[in-house]
Amino acid sequence: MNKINRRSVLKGVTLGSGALALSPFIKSISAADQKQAPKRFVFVVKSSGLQGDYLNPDGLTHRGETLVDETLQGRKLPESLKSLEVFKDKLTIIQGLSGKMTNSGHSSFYGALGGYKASAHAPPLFATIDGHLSEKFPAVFNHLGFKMGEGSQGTTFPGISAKGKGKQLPFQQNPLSAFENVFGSILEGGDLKKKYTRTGNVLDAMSEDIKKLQKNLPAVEREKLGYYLDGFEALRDRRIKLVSMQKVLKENAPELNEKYTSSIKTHHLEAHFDMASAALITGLTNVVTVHADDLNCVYSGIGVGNNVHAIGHGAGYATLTSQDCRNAIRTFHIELIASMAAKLDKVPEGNGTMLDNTIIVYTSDNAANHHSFGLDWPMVVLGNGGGALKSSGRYLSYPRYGTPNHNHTICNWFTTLCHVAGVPQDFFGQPDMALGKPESQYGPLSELIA
Amino acid sequence: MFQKLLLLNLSCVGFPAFCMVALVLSLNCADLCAGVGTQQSDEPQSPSEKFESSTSPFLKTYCIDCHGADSQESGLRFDQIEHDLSDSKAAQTWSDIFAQVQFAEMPPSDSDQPTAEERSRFVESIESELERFNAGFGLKEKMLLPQYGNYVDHETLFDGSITEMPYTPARLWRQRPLIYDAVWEKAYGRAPWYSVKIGGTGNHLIERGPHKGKLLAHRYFADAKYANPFFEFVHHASGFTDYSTIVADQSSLEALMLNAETMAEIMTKGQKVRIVTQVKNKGSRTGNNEAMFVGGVTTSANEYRGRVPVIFRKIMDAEGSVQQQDFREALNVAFNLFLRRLPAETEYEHYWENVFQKNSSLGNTMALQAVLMYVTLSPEFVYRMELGLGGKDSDGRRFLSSQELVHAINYALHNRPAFGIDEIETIDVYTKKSEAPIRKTMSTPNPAWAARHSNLVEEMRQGKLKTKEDVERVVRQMLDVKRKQRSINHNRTYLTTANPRVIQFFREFFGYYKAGEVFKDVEKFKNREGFKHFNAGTASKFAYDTDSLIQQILAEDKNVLYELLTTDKIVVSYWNGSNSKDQIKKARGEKAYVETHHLQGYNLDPFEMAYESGENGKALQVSRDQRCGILTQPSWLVAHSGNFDNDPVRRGKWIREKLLAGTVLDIPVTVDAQIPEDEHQTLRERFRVVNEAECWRCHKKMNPLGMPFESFNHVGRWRASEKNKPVDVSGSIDYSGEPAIEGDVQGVRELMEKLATSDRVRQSFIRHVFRFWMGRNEMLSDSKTLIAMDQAYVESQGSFRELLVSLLTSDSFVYRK
Repeated sequence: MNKINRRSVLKGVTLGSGALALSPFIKSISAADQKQAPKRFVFVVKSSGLQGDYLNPDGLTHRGETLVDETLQGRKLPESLKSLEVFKDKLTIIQGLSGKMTNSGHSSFYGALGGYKASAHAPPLFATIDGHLSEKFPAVFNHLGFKMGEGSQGTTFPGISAKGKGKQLPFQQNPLSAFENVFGSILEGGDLKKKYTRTGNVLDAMSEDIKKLQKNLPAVEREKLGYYLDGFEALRDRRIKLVSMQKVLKENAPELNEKYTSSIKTHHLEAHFDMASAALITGLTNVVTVHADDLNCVYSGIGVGNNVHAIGHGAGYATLTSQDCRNAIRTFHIELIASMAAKLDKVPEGNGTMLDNTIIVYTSDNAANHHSFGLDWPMVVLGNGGGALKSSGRYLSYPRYGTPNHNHTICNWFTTLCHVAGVPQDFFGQPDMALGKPESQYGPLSELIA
Repeated sequence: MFQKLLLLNLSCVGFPAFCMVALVLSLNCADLCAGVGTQQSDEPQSPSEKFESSTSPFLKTYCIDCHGADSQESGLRFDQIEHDLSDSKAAQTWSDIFAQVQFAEMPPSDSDQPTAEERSRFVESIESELERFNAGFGLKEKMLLPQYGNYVDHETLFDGSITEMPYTPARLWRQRPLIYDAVWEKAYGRAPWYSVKIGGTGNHLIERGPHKGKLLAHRYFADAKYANPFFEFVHHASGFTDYSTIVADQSSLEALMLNAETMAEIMTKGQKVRIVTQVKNKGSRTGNNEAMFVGGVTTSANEYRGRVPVIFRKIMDAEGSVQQQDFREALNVAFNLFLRRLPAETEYEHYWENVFQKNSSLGNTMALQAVLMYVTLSPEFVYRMELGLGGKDSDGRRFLSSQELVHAINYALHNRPAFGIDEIETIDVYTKKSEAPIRKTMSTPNPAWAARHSNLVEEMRQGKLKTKEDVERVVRQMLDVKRKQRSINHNRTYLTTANPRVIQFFREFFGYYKAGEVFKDVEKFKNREGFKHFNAGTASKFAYDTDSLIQQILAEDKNVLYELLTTDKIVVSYWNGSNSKDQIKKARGEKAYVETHHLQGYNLDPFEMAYESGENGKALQVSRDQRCGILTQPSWLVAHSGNFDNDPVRRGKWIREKLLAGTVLDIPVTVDAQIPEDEHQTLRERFRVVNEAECWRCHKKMNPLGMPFESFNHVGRWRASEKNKPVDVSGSIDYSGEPAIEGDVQGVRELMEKLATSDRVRQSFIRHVFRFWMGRNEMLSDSKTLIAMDQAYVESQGSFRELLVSLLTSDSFVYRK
């Protein structure tokens, strides 16, 4: 992959031909770029719980009655975080956040990133943190979601991310069709390029048609059709923007290789991480969510041939115990995160690298256990958002739920992210009423605000 | 475009086009919107003044006594209330008043109550004033949601005081996911692959080529692989999956787009099939499994199969520009396939200019694909339009046109389109001269998308679907269709019944089909006494049992609701009544067989039970004290349970909302809805925490109704004791709106017998029937329809069939406004 400086590339694009119609968009990005690089956020969400017991560096424990606040420097990272050793000065391990305001069980669905009660079949109540931030840092794709799953479906809706009430965000599942959707504009010649143009033409004509139809409908029905029309307009805008970015996309798009067509699902996840990295580097998006797996996934590519659900219930595989399998899966995720970080770290930006302006959060859709009550929700955080997140390698363990000093929820963490992103708000999500009045729970995690 | 879309099936109906256009033009916006008259007064009032004058009488009559100059309960005083809602504090106060009055928490039940109309006028005034300052609740939109259905006043709906003639607002209705599946899955939603094995065993001797003389075995797979664009939103309070308020949005579009691209390929080139050929290098070993082929040669290739319309092929093969006449023919085919009608003249032009020619520089194939995609993304494909294109009556209501009736009646009972596909001339895309079995598999005598017109379409084409009498005739015909009654199971789901939407209603009304979605720790059950019968598939099997039981009750069609709530029969779909030696051996002995048998879910022993055969199927007679209707079916109990415990709150809430047409506010944000863990206490004892005044305000509406079900454990088995104490099964019916049934009850049987004979419960059931089939909440103006349904049901001694006929021939069903 070529090293590029994003600002200069964008300048090049504005000077290029055919950019006239797009100038407002390009301007907005380069203006933001000149002032300050956009903040980027990556959420990697696993299922079946992220076990806090395996995230503690040597000599540190969580679930205490008081706050533990220690530097990571000079400490040995736990086995599964080994690949983050090189980024130790950008790593923050947070333990002891509670998420009792979510529906727990096998998954908290939107609640995991939203901090509220949610289920698989009901529309989301509010935006989730990724969806919320994606609206604050718009790009060609405000939000990109990738999900390892059964693989044949192109777009899927795992019920994990939302950009607002009732607005669930789609995830790309099949890597090949994800490539077409995300990097399709750079495909040259041949049918793929023609297909791309054809789809664009269809979108154009249809949105005009819908507008005409709307004029003749009663108000309520007009609004109903409005949701559909919005879809067309959003897709059309996106395509216009993609055309303007061909140069940078060509230089940075991942190589289409056998991972994209493999029958081994872990290869898909690797492809997802490659595409996610490229999408961030090219500025296609500033917010990515990778829903790494679900309970039916099988990690055969790393030698774990049983599904995540069975493992969560104590089943092992071959000579591996259930815990061995869980460790292997977690280690694999962390390795993928480390390689993404390494890629971002190679791209210069401002006085540093792209990684400096990026925050990668690794967590679970179901707190710390396969069957969870939301008592303890670990977050492994890489990057400090240009210094806005007060960490240069830090371990924080908040007092455990139920002790007098516990007043720290995942909602406080999401509020912290809003502050770090430069879009502060009092509170994100729903408060946990067992912890006291809502007002008493407002604000970010003060330890982490620079 | 609007006019074009309304010209449905002109050719089928034989209406002169100009009549239709004239009708459409006369439907201007004002006609379609419900006009709200504004009162003229001599002196112009400011909006705030208007707000004051419209709300003051209500406050004076119902609120000031407790919240006025003399008394300020809860510190609230309304005689000097601020009416300028630009003041955020005032807006908040009015919001609070709104919620209290809207949800009938105020005025308190022991003081004078406003009429339903007074209440609704008052809250509407507040709502619209709050809206003006962007502080509103979106009340109108909210009241369209299924979970708000019960807020329409029950007494007013049934007391005959409403004289307005019923109608349904003109609307678009997003296609159901099942309808999309019916159109899409078989023809465009499959990922086929074809396994060919040469040199193992097989029944075909290869005739020529390098493998001549070897045996060939083959297998064709076609798995459904596509995303349904119409995600269902089921609200916990309603359970109904299809409401006309549900929209298609960007998420739907992205899935539609992806699917459309696949379809366009299939319709122009054929279905891509991945053929994997494995050839053994030595013929010495027999068998076709993978191990036998290790070391052989595997090749894979893509071939196409299916049928492509001749006219498509002609366009794709045309050198240079396409004749407009050919295009018209191709567009007929595209419309026939997906919209099931012919295009209007303006549509030919529109598609030719704005779709086909716009893409012609990409080549004729791409341009044709663009046309096909366009059709399946069009609003008409996504939304069913119910505008009322028939005649207008003196009340300003418009009858559904014949085509609209076909759709409305058909989708009331079925999940697949009524209109089929007229014959299209096609050619087979697979032309290779391969070995006979391969050629047979790969060639396609009939297109996958072939679909017949339903009988309704025939009626319409003969001009016999225009009046209410016509509607009644066809509805009765459809409900009379008899199929051999067999119990429902995973191979033969409710979707295979004659009118699948009927059982679908009961599934969604009772919610028992969700039993399989409740997590139960089946691993632990393996070693737990009394739970050994419950494995990973058990909850779903319970749901099939209930499907089958309902099917039998509907076949009897007598006192249906009473039977549903009180029957002491059960049906077990996965037990034929015999206990075979093989099964006993498989279970490792009689003891284990009995312990793990599905019948244990009903506290029954398979060696002690025998089926009674009735006209409508086999059923088991069980103890009246243990089982009493659907609410005591393990499926319902599990669906309304927690992971490790019963959930008396949800059970009580279900009865309150579904059977008593009552309301319970959602959990207020100030409540942490947790009950304490304590392994020594019964669940009822642990629930004492909600007896606190603040909790009890809502819980009194749920817990006394749900507690009698403590006579079952959380997997639905009947029990006499809990934690070594006799189970306390007491409960009560209160605040029901029907004093005759109120009072304490001992156990589920007494509770259900009371409910099952209640007018209120019957009417609540009827309201839910209305909602399911109309896809919307009842309005006060639907009163006549509901009363007629009630009468039809009572006069027919509880026939669900008559109830349904009454609804489907009602003004609410056939008129739009």
